[in-house]
Amino acid sequence: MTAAKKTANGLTLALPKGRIFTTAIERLMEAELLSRAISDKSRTLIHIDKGTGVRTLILRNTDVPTYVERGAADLGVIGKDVLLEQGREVYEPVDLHFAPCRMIVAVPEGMMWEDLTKRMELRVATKFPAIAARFFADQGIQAQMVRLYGNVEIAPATGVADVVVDLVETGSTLKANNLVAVKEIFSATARLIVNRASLKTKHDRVSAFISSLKKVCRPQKKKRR
Amino acid sequence: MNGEQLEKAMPAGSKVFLPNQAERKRRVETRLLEVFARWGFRQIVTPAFDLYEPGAGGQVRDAQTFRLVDRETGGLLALRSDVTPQIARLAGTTLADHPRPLRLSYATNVFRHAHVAGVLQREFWQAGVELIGLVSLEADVEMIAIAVECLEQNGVENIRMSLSHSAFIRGLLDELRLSDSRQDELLDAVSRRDASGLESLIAKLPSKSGDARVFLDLPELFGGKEILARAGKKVKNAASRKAVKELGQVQRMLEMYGLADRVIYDLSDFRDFDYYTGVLFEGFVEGSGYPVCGGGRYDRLVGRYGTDALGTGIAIDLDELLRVAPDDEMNGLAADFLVIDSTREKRIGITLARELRGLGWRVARDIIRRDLADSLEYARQAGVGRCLVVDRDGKKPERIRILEPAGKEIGGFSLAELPGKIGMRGEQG
Repeated sequence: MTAAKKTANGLTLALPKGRIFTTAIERLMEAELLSRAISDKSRTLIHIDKGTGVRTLILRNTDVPTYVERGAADLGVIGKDVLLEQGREVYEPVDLHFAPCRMIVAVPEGMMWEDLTKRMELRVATKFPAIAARFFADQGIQAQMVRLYGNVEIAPATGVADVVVDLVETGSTLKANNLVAVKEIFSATARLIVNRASLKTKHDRVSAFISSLKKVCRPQKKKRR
Repeated sequence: MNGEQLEKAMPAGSKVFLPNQAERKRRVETRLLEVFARWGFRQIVTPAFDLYEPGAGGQVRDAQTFRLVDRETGGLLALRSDVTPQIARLAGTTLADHPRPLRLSYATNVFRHAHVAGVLQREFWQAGVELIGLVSLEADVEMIAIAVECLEQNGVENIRMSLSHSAFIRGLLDELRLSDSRQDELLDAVSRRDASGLESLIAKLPSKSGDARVFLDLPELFGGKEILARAGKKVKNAASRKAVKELGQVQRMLEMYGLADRVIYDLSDFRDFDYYTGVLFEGFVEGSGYPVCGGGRYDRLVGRYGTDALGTGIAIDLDELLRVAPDDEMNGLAADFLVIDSTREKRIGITLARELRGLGWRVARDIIRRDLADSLEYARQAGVGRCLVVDRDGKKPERIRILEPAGKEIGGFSLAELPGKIGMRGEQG
């Protein structure tokens, strides 16, 4: 595969710190798009891979779509949740099938989904106000978004909100805070996103990047509970 | 009210062009209008106020349009959000009897409530052309050629024109007979090239007959002319097949224009569905996520205003063009000359300035009473080419000294010697 090595030369890739990062690096190395691992703990935030010529930007999760939309990066890896929340103008041609998570509505133990549908002015604590507002509007429930930036699970217990909308992987944080998931809004995985102009102006390299990454990101068997 | 602090910021989403930028914008606009003129298009100016007609410009445009109540009738007015429907209306009414094809151009601002990369923008500058009354692929190719020339005239290189045909996707959709909301979902996934989203939407369809599965291939139907052959083999419905065939003809004409290597085909592009009916395109430049120009065929639009007519056009996004075009580095001087006349009656200064302006020079007079040193300091900061100093009464009357803003004296002359000393602007420094 040495011939494929330089196919992505000069492309810039935006990666989010945290949940997605480690797996993304593994897959990129497997696809021979990176020749060396990068750590998201590194103080250097721009890395140029000497083997493949790919330039990597390490960004905050929610900033990845902005960099890609504005053309500061040609490609990016980001959770579908962030894309749904921000609704940016980028292409998202590949489901990378890793970092699975679910967007859920969680309520204090003892409360039921049916209780919510009858309430006026339900207060919803969330980091995803656009997704949550759209969801409750579709259900015909009057809801008020309380936009928080982290640890939304303690909002009901402290009286800041009645319920929460959040992303869960295992559900253990919910349990620890006496919350129960009563509704799944969607389940999502990491996506490869592409700047619109890059797809058109650098289509050979971008297509090569997409197809090599696709090969190493197959759907995983669903763990159903 | 008196003495109250006024708001210092402009309203969000508005933009000011400072002198350097305003001059550059004017130069770029002029070059575009010149290209249009060379292809036989004549400029028209349309009103900023428009009638508000729901749906006239498509769903997206509708949601972005500023509406206001007409004080005369109590009905609704809109701020111009797009020039094409205005020209289409004129073509169908006032200009209905004019010989076809009509070739019209414009350069103006349009108003939309839109977020560009998450940032609110409400005023957009555009220049474009409309070619009305020709049903011919040649007309569509002419649009692409004009767009490329417009960008090249402004020094933009590495332009990639992305071509598509709205009948390709329309043909696929018409077979499916989906509800409006389902169709919107599907088109949204197409526009995001969301392969897995398409997969789950197609899996949900009651019947996957006909060309439904072509949607799954759409995200990969982009590339050089070879994808036209690939697409042609995949689709069976007549409308989509015709679309592919037309793009093939366009490809051959582009080769004659020598533009084939500027073009890429991306069959997932449909732009605004309520608007475009045929060949459509967008122009991209490396490093920017937004098309710098776009256009296409809108055969239904003109017909809606009366006479049945057909049109194709392009619009160049001036904001984006100014971002991607190299700076043309015209000198950007505030003035060629600053006339500093310290005499009491100022006769020489006024005459000098008038005569220089007559020769085409940009001349500002230093009207404030101040020391020469302060005047020179002003000249340096404002960016003036040369200072012309008329000294105070008595010393050397009639003698005009030429100074660099830095203070160095580089010559002198009297008013009578002016014609021989300084010629027409552009002839000598």
